[in-house]
Amino acid sequence: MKILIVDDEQAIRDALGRKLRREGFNVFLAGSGIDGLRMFHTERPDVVVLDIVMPEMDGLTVCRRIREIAETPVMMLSANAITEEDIVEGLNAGADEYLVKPIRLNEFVARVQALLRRSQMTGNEAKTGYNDGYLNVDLQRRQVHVEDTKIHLTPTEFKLLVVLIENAGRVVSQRELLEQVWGHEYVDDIYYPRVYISQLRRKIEPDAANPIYILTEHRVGYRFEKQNRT
Amino acid sequence: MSDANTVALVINSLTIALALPMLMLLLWQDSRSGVNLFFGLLMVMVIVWSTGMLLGRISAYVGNLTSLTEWGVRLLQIGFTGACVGLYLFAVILSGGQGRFFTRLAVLAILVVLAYQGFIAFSTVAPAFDVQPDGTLRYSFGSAATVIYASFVLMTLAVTWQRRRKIRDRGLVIGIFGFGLGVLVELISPELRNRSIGIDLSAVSSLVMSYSMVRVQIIEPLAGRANQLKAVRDVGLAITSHVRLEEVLRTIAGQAAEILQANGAAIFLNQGGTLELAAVHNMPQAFIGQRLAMGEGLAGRAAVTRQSARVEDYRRDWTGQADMPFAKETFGAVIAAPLIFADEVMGVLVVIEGPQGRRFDREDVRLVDLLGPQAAVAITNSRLFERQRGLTDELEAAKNQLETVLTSTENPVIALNRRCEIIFANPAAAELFDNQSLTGRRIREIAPTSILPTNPGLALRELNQRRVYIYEVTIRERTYLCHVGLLGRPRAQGFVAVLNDITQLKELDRIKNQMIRMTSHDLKNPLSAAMFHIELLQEEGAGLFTDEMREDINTVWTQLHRMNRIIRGILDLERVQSGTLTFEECVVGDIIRSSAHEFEDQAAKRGVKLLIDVPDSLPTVTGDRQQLVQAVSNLIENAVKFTLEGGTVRVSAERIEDQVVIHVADTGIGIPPEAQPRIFERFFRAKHPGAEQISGTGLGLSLVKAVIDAHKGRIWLESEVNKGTTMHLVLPARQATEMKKSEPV
Repeated sequence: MKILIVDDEQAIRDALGRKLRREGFNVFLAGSGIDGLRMFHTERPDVVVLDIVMPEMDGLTVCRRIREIAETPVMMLSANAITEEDIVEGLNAGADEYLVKPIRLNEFVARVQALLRRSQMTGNEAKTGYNDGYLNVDLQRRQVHVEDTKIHLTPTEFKLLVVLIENAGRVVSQRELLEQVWGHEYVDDIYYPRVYISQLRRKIEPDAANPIYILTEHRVGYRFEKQNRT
Repeated sequence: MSDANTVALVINSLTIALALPMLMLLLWQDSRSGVNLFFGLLMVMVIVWSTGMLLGRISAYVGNLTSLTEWGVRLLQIGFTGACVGLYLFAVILSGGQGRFFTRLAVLAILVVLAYQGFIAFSTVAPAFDVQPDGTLRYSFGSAATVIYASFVLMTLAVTWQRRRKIRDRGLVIGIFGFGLGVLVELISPELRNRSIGIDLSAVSSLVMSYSMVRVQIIEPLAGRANQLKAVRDVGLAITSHVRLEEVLRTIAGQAAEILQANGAAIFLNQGGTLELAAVHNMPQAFIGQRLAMGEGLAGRAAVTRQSARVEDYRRDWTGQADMPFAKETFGAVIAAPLIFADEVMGVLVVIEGPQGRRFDREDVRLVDLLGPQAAVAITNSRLFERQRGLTDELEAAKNQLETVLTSTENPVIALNRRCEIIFANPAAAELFDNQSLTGRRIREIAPTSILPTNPGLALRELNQRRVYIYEVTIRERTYLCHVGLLGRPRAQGFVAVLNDITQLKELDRIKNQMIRMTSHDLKNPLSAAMFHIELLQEEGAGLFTDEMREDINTVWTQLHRMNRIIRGILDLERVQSGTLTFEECVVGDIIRSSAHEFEDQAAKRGVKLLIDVPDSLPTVTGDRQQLVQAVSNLIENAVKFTLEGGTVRVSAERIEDQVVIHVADTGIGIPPEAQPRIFERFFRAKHPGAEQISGTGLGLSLVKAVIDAHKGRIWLESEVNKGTTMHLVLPARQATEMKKSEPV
């Protein structure tokens, strides 16, 4: 497995690289955003670990560039997180994961592995899918169409949609979503569902401001509502 | 029968015929008046005298009726005697010269005289008289009786002359003199007596007196009623033309004295149960301010009885406390009338005549009584007016002060009425809108929509519920915090908006956040690098290190970890205080258990027993789970840290009404009382024996406080040095909090 680490602090870069290599990963190190992007193109890694605050090109920009061409899982690793908004900003840029420095190396490795697991998830656990004429979710082929136009969902977004559809009509709490989509080690990262839900709504809802598919149960969780359009 | 006798008979008959109705009229008008009674007595005596005369003369003329003539003469003498005494009494009482026991003495005198006359009348001795051949009656008085009667008459004339000014009607003076002269003629000259000149004169005089009495007592008051009403109306006009209380009082006093043609007048005002002299007319101004208790003095009595009081001679008749200094020496007749308005005695009007002046009669009292209510209304009006003017002045002053404050403040202030028209804008507000004249214009005309609340419905709801609505607004690239409040209570008359320029504060806040961000980043990066490398060192060099080296590396790790905690503490606090929390349903037991779990090892290591006691039936709470865990963790960490070996930390929770209360109790070293109020401050650490060796950032409890505040909860502590500390933490239970459905985030 190839992992690209982009961080302007050499000491951090080296430490993370050493740790991952010892865990058996193939690690590529980049000292700036531009180098990182270049290396992404040449090496096509399976996971990208990105620092945010870097000179010239920051991690958020790098992430957006990557998202323009690929759905490779991206993990933000920043010392810069102060408020929820910072984390949300990172996730909005397309990151699948946001970790705050400092972190125990073992936990870092576990998170990288979880991220890989999620991206490699196949649709075999999915059953039928959903189609009401407007929204068509094909679980077998992992494809989503809105009004016959194919739309791109990241693996995390897709899994989130699947979990909601499987529980259609029932409220799924934020903790349930975190456990089922991200894994049980993520149950405290409650910003994730919120950010991903709003991304999903932008992609599948006719009007993201007045959602009809993914409804919020205030302070409890979310509920997928089937529509009768046919 | 001689012509003279015939004339006398006619006059006598007329006297009887006319005197009787006049007497009846007077007694009907006022049967309790002393003057009327004594005049009545006089007239009765005159009638008896005239009747006796008539009887005697007619029986003598008819002849052979000796006994009838004798009875006539007896009646004549009784009437004559009574008339002499009655005239004197009438003159005295008419001129007001009677003493305190006058009435009793007078009644006694009359009884004695009548008894004497009665004794004579029924004695066997016949009266001295003879009938002339032509039928003319001749009679005579004994010399002793003549002297007594004459002295009565002379005394009467003397009294009348001396006190003639006190007798208001000249006809009465003339009548008394005529009557006295008639009696004297009767006594002195037998010739004129025989020709009935004396009695004729007296009879005519008595008619004159009767007429005068009727005029004075009945006709004049009736004729004067219209004038009085006019006078009272003039007084009303005069007193209502003033509004200042002092002027009103002075006018009332002056008008009262004028209308009664009295020497002076004074007004007492009821000042909280005491009468205070407030105005005088024709009296020393120095008396003003004199006080008189209720019930004391003539004025006090009028105030208590709520009825006018009159004395004819203050020196002689008033035995109570004097109303004013030198009153007993200088007052003659006095009337005191209560001034009543709305059933409350406002004061007393006192009208005063000097000792030599005239007497007041019932008509005068009536006049003052007419004046009273008008005066009371005028006093009440002017008091109300003065109070209102006082209030207006105060209001004006308060308004000026407020305007000065509002004008001089740099904060723009705008007040609107209910129709959203501007009713006030201070210069700062005018400057904000290009110095336009703002008053009277609608807010929408002068202000762009962007500066009004984006959701007017919400703003109104907030205003109705909390009376204040606060929102941020940007005008000309400056940011203001706009406080909108309701004007007027309880019903809102409009709105007032105060704008606080917070541009600088916002900038400072932004710089502070940036600083914290930069600091945390700049510190956390090297910290992370160091921690990563320590971890690698521990893993990769595990077999190479001696125990000592391993210990050193652990120490470095612990210290780095501690540094990280401090930075995290600052950032956590920052995050909680900036209000970015994520609320969800939280199970209190879970929060406590996962918080406690973190410290089980630490507690065991320190030999501290950590007990958890949470009932399953606890309601959930709405909150930021991570922050709540952090808060409870901080409390448990502190409790474990500050409890010595063998001690206990007990974490429990219970439901109290709509709240969940979490208690973290330890048997530790406690917090000194002087430190307790500051314990939640940032970076505060209590200086306390036993606490020096225990590490901490001084941020833990301030974070707990910030978290609990953000959850609309409460936290307080009970602590005793060397006994232990209990922290109580209250959160609203979820059932009690509002739930909203299907709302997009």
